[in-house]
Amino acid sequence: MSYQTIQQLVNGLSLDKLTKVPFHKRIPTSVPTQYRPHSYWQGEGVPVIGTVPTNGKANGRVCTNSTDGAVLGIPSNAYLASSSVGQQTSSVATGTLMLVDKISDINLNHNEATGSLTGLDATSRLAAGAGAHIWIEAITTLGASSNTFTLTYTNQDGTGSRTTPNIVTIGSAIQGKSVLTNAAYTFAPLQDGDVGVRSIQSITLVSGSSTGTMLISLVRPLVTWLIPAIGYGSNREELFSAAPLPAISSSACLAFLWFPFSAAGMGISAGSLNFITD
Amino acid sequence: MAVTTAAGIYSEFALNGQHIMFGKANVVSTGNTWATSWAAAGLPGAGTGTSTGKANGATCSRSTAGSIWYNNPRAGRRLYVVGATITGSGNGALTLVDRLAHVTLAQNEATGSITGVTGTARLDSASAGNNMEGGQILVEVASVLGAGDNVFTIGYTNQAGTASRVTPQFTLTGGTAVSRIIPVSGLCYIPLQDGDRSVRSIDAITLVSGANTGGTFTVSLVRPILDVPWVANIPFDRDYVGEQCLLPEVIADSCLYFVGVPTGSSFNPWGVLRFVDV
Repeated sequence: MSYQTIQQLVNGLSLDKLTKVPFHKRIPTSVPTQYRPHSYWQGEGVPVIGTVPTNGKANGRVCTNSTDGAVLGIPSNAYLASSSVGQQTSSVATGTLMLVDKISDINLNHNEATGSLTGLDATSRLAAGAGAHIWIEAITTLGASSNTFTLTYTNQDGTGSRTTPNIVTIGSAIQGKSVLTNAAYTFAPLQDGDVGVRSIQSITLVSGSSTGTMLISLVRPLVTWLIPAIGYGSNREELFSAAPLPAISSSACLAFLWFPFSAAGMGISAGSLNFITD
Repeated sequence: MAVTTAAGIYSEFALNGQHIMFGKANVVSTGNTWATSWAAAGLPGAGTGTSTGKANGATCSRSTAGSIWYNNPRAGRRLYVVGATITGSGNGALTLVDRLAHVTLAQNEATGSITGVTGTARLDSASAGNNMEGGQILVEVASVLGAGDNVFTIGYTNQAGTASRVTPQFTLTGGTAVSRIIPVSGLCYIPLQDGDRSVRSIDAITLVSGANTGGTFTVSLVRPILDVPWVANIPFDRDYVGEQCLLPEVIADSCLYFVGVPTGSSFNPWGVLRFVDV
């Protein structure tokens, strides 16, 4: 059953169907770039530092709850009932934390040559008609100059040969930081009329030869929390925020993105994800 | 719309909902004085005006620097704000607006016709009778004004398509800082000629008195979309489907940003907007 009423939720709680899963993560760098999104994937903590696949267009992979970096302990047939998060070290570090299901990723060179991609596919955890978003972070620090490329993908409806607008990277992006130079983008823009991506088939290098490596991930945003400052937690009851409760696949690779609103050094984000099962 | 129930909207959000993070740098204001986040750094980055001059009016879109970025609705669908979580320093009230078009003028801009400030691409037909026929006139300081007041009126075409309408006089107060909105009797928008309720295009400006120079101001045609109060360090979740029954619509290609009135001297909204197309 999916939980759609408070009565159903209370009944589930009374039957001890709640599982609390803690987390305690930081981004790879102690000094994020203000106003630019970052990923926790390659940062220390609980869960452990996330791995990246072998570099190359042929090495895309599907990420699961067994992938190093994924939040551990998610029960089967789970829904996210509530959560509580905060940050621990800085009195002035503020920002927005986003929980995503990191479904698939691929490790490419910043100046990856044009060609087909294999294995960057999110369909195994997407319902019919659903799509993911394209998140791109630096693995190794990018070269000082920017490059421009496009991605050709299949959209939320299964229509192929869709192409992103030019994706321009930001030179010298550090590990974990979004590589998108446009200050308006969290995720890569899509072809107009699309709202999601099911798989990515190829990359086209439009211009540039700057080096470094980048991780392109297909992610599904699940929850966002505002972290105002140390001492201020953020609690959400999902039933009243986005009824019905978000269903979480038992193979979900749960990971975090961080948008630093303040310029202060980022502390550790920590908290608890509270799942209720059928 | 394809979906007509709250449950249907929530289900669509679970498939392809957009979680749009944003955060704008502090705009130092005066308590209880309107200000705009348009030119502030952040996510999205800073927006600008046009080249100075009455002939340089331009329409704005989601691709205009300064606009919050989002995916347009799919063909045959409409895009709605279904939720928001917002906070900031201090307390105050925000309005999410669509910046339809704008033009930057000199502090002592001579009387004459204005070209290019029209919003009809994202407005319903004249006299549609649904409050979507027109926008409002917003005047903000683009570069700090020199000493001394100048007085203007603005000529426009109203919601019914009637031209040669004229606003009451308003004062461009000398010394006003960047990103302050020129208020009239504490209001955010320039009042209209008696009997009018909205504006389809801004057509002319008349310098009534004063010859003070030194700064510039931008006249924008905006369509208010959503009002959101904020409280310092308390990120309230708002559900515009089941909780407030509002469903504010975002017209495709809207140029989105915030204006607001802080109770104190800080104006720096940040948080997340939740959109879905149905």
